[in-house]
Amino acid sequence: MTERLGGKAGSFKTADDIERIIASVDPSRGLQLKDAIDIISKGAKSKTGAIAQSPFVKDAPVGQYAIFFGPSRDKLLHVIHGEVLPNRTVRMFDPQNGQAVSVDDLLSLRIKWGGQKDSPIIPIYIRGND
Amino acid sequence: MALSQKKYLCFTCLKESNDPIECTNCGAKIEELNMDAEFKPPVHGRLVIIVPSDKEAVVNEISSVVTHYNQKLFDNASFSNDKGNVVIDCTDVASERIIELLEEEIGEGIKQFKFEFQQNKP
Repeated sequence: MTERLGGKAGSFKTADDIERIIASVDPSRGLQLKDAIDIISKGAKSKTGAIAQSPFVKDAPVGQYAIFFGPSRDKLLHVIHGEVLPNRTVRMFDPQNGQAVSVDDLLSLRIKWGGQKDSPIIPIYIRGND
Repeated sequence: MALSQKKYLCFTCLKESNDPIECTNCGAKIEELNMDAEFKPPVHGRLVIIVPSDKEAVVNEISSVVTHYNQKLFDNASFSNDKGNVVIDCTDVASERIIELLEEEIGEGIKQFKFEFQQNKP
C-alpha cells in the first residue's frame, strides 16, 4: 500500500489494493459511477459525501479526488487519483500503472479513454486531508 | 445590489461556469452529473485475427493500423504475427477501436477475416 504525504493524507491505495481489500471493479459487475465512488470512498475512509468538484478552480477544497475519464458522461472507463494540497497545487496519480499524471497529460488521457480531445472528465471530491 | 451566483461545473474545461446552459469559459454544453453512468474499466486480453494464407498481404496493413492506433490514441497495443494468426495484445476497448479502424482502412474486405477477443485469465 502506498503511503502519501507521510500518512497525513490518509493511506493511499493502488487499484490492486482497492480490488483486493474493498471490492472488485470487474466489468461483469455492471458498476455505475455511484458504485465506483462508493468503493473509492470506502478505500479513502471518507466520512463525508462525495461531490462533483473540480480540483483546478482556485477555491477547490484541499483533499482527495477521483477523476474519471470516458467517451461520454454516461460511459466512464478509467479513474485516476487527484489531490489538492494545502498550497493549492494539484497532484495526480494513476493507481493502475503507478505513474504520476501532469496537467498536460490530461489531454492524452482524454484521447486515450474518451477517443476525443474534448471528451468529458468527471472530477469527484472524495474527502479532506484531516 | 450584488447577486449571488451559483456556479456550474464544466466537464470539458473543468472550470466553473456562470451560465447553466453553456460554459462561460470554453463554450461547451453544461451537463449534469449522471450518477447512474456506466463505469466499466477495460479488461486486458488479446485480439486474434485469423488471416487466410492467400491474404497475407493484409497483415502489413493490420500492423500499420495498430501503429496508427497507438499514435492516435496514446495506447500501447502490441502486434505480433505467427503464420497468419495475428495477435494484438490490448484491452477490450482498444480491440473495438482497432476493428473500427481496420474497417475504415481495409473496407468491406475485412469481413472475410475472423476476429476474436480473448480476455486474459485472472
